[in-house]
Amino acid sequence: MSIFAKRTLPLAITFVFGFFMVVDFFFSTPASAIAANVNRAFVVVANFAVITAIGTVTLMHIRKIQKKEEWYNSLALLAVLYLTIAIGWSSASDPTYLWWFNNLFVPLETTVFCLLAFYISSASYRVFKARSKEAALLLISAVLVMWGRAPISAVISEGFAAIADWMMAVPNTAGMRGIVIGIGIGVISIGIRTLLGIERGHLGGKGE
Amino acid sequence: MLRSGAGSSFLFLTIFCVILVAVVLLVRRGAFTPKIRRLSQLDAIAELVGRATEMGKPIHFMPGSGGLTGGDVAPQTIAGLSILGYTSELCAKYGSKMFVTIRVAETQALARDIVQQAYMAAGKPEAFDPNQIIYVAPTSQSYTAGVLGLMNREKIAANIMVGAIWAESIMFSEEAATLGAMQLGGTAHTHQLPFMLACCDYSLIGEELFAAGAYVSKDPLQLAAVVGQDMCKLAAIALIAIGVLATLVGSPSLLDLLKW
Repeated sequence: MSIFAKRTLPLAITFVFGFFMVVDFFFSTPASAIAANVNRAFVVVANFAVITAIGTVTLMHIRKIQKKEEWYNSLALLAVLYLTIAIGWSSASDPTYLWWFNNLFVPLETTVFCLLAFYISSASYRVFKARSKEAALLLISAVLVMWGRAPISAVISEGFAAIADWMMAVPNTAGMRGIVIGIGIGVISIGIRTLLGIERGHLGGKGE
Repeated sequence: MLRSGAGSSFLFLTIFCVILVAVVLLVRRGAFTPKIRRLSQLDAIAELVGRATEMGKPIHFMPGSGGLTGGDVAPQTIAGLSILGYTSELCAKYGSKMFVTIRVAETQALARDIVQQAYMAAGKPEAFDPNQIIYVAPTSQSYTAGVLGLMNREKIAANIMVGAIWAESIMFSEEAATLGAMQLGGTAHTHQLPFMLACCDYSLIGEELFAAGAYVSKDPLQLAAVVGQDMCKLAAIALIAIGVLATLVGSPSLLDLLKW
């Protein structure tokens, strides 16, 4: 593929479409209609990307089945994937599809999400070890905040809640605001770099 | 016509653009050589890849679980993809195996292209395997389940998660820690930063993520943009100080300007 198709064209498209989006954000002009169309075009492109992604997933798992590498998992995945597409093909509000979605997909997602509690517990156990001054500081502040948030602390003294509130409102907020301001400026910076074609890492190569 | 309440944002964005472009132009004309501080987290990528190569185990890379839309998500995905290119090239050079897991479909094509170009740049196009870029699932927990399974089956030695990350951050990093993998995490989502700091060996905090692409590319123009970004940060600090002083003396002028 030529440099024009690989670099110049994507950068030009990014600049032109990005320009319309920025103008639409600040000004109410006829360009707003163009920005709305750009958004619609992106939805179409994203949906085609889903089709190609499903295609690559299918090919990858067919290869796995052929090579007999954990073929049963691949077979199950393909079967469920295409069965879901078939059931929901006519409409996403089809009763059979909704039953399938609410009774199979939602409980499975919820189950995986519930694992989060165990992962947080094990991470907390590992991180709350006072191995250094910083870790000790983290441990003390975390214990104070957790204790202040627990209902039992209020039974003993109202002061614990006040300490927890102060820690969240003053040192925590001060640190977080510093990070958030840095992030905000960073987001604007990378946006401008991308629009102007200075940032090219996402296009592959060394950015030359 | 300027939208109501957008005046100050537009003014500050214009000033930001002028500073950034001015610094980039100065560097292009050779007025000065931009330098940014060392980011040991990014230097550690070579260590992560090297360790995985020595152990003969693969690397897991996740360019965030966001896509290319959204004001705060897209920039993080772009930063993650920039680091993916650098990591892929190291993997190609060392002959390490890497899995890139994708949650949002439109990112897959970009990731595949980036990894393929990295293998070509390293002079090993034949070593590129398209199956190493895996579109797992579009929803958060399905994606998490798929990646946790992959990590366990492949017994990864390194885990790199850079980009827009939500609840999956702690699940992946804890699972990788259980497997004894070295980890690099980076996100601009403040609610996930504590988990990254707690579980990863190296963490890119907030704005460091957005400087990562420039740092690994070593491109003077990109580095110049980061220098311009730092200047804007100094301007923001000055503005905060002026705002505090103005409020203390009872002047609402800056607040009025921000509401414009």
